[in-house]
Amino acid sequence: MGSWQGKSNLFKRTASVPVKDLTLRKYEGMQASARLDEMLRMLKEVFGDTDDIAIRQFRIFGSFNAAAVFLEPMVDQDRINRDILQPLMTALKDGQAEQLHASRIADYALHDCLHAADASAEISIVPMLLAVTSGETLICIDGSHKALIVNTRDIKKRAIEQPQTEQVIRGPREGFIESLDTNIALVRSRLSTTDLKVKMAPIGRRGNTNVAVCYLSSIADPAIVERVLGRLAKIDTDAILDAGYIEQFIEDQPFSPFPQIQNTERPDKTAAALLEGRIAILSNGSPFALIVPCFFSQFYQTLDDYTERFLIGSLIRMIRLVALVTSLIFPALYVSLISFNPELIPTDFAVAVAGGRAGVPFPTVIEVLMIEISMEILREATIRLPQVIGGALSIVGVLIIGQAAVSAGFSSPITVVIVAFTTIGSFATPAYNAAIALRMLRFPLIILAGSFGLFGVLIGLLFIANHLLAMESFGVPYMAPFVPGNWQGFKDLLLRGPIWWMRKRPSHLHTLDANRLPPDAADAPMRRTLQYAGEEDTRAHE
Amino acid sequence: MSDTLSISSIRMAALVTSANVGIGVLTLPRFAAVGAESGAPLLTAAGILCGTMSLLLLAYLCSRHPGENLIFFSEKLVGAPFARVMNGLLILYFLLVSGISLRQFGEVVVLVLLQKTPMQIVECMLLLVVALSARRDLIKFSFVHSFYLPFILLPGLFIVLIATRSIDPNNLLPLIGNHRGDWPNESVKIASLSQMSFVFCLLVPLMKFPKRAASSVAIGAAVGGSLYLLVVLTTVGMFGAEETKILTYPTLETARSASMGVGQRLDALFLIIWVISIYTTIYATYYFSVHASRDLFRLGDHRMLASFYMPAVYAVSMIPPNIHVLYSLWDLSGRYGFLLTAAYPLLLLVMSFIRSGRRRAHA
Repeated sequence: MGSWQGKSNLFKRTASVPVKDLTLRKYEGMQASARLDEMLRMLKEVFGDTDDIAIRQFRIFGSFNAAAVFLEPMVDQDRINRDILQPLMTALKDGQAEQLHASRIADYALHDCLHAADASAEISIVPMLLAVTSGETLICIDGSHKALIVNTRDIKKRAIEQPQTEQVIRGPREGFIESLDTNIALVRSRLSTTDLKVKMAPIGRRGNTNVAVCYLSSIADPAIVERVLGRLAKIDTDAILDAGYIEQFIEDQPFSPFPQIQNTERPDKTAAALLEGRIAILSNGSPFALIVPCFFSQFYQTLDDYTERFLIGSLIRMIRLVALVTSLIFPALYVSLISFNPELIPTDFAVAVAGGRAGVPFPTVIEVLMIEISMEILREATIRLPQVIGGALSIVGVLIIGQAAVSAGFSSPITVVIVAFTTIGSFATPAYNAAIALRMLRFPLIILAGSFGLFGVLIGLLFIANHLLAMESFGVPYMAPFVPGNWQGFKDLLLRGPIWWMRKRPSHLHTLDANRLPPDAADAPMRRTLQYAGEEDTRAHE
Repeated sequence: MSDTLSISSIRMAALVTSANVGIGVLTLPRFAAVGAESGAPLLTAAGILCGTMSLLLLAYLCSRHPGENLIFFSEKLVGAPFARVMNGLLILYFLLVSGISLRQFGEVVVLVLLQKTPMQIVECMLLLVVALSARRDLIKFSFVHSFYLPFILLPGLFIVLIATRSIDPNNLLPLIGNHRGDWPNESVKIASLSQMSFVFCLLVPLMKFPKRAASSVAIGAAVGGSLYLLVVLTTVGMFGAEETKILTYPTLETARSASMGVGQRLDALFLIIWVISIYTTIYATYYFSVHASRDLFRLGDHRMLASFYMPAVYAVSMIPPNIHVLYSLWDLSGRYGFLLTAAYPLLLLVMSFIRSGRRRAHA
């Protein structure tokens, strides 16, 4: 049932299930017939051209005609045999069957016989049809207006593996998979609290993809929750094949190159985000959770920052920031220094640069653009290849770009070094979508640098910075906690403060419970540091 | 949604600093040296003080009317026709200032960074960035200023720190200069540099605590003023007043000489960072014109105006035929502009006192 579609004020519906499918619209509001033959005729009409439908007719308790309807590929037939057919087809004791009236048989079967946890009785046609298409088994009984729906879905899913895109050195190895139920379980197992609310509803006229919105009711700002639900309820599309579809429907600025919603394959990261007062959106069929609202700073933070000790975490984070900036401006700086302001290059090095460039027929900007583009092509080519071929290809790429291009007089060795730096820098950014945004933005910067030198680069950077400053994600400033500034937020921005020192949740999320730790959380570690030089004081126990 | 709907006191101070520090950084030592020779630092201090006082006046006035911005409450204080004329003048003045600043900026960039590029293109690029960012609302405007503040202050302080070792104290003596210059007139010229942050009067109603506007502005103006003072102190101390007078962009020379100590010529780098401070300053003056016009004409949206004023500012920047006319125009606009931007708020404040007094008498 669409729990959030009912809740959201923006999109009130009267029907329990939104009907968008044409076939379903025909049966909207219709109730099931008590006659089995009529029901079967209707089902054959709907599923007539569907060859994988199975209709198994049988007699309940040896006296009532009934039929089980299911889609063969989607169900666990053993379970149908064991949990549905077996108990229902067992004859009752003498006399008991006669006492039962046909109209009460459905209730009796549901309450006393079926050994299935997820089973219900239904009287409307539309939910019955939807149940069949989603892999549940529909049991129609002659003489009863109610039909039974038993969950027998059995869709093969892969095992829980380590996330491919967000590997950690230290930290949990579990990643989301394509099954929504499993994913929710992974989050729930990390946050066993009644505060964790999960709102589910199907999205998509034809896909009916189950989408779950998770948040902690005691922390998340209700206004943001309402905004998320409202935007989700407005999605009207065929199907959600990946969480990425949802992202594009609900983001604030669709024309911005920057991602405004974080996605993660990691349940632990999702749980951490929920604890900060954010909201996670999971969709069936996608191993990625969407996390909103999101700050730009989240794109260079990783779980490793938090699992390692804070000094190391801070240093690594700063390295990553350097890499991020490098991947954006390094080639543009190089072009403008070589073409416009060579006096900024140290003299000894300038000689080397000039020597390397001797014989290169192109202006620096063309040269850098060529090498950058070929690097991007190489990256794009290797990304989808099987690892065996990918390795071979990267050797070819390295040889051609790195060695042959230089010896052929195509580019100077320093250009190759710069491009390599840039590429490595962008791979050091943990979030692929943010890295790619910055990587693509460096092309206009290179062109600006080629035309206007450092001035052009600065104008380009002003454009980018102003754009970032103007952005919002679900009403929260994108550059927070840097601008607008917030002291508590600074502890987790450029550095990663000690865990016992970061007492507050991000203030820009307007959490209901602002404190993560008690006010004296830093006392014990600080006392250990200052007074006992790292040793526990034994006298304190006396 | 406190942070997306209101402005904190610190951000207000940052805005004032980043708007004030700008075009004057390069030329102020020359103006001050011409005005008072070795008394340049003292003259600068006087000018900064003068400018800060006028800003404080305005801030106090605004905090007396926390619900509305200057454009609206001025009409209530002195009557709509007079207030509208004066507000219109303010808008025109800041358009003029934007234009002249843009031209100065173009002159410097073409002189130092891009010798072969036409100045018009350089100006157009900056104007485009300014106009595009002027489409944002007031909160985003304050975000931009607080974001760029470190990039404005740190390089300036860096240059000053390196340059301090080359300062010759004799260059700064006597403290009041050798000749009796026209101090009031000259300090007003320097004070007009502080008026670049006039735009804050539109932001006071959005402050979390409008009553703290005056203290925020005082801090902001003091920080910006100290940077100016340090720059003048270093430059005049380094070159001496007589040499400073003949340098077109003395601060640039300071940066050049200072970086020589490091072994590299870093003046281009300094100039690039300086572009940021120019940007924030022109952004502040341009934004005032755009936003005040919106309120003056009672328009619902200022985004069209942001593009509409572009040709006007560009035209103003093209008026001076050469750099000498440019600086005499700058001189003139600074002097009369300060009269306008200081006297008008003073008048409003007096009226505000009179009116509240009358109200109390009635009550």
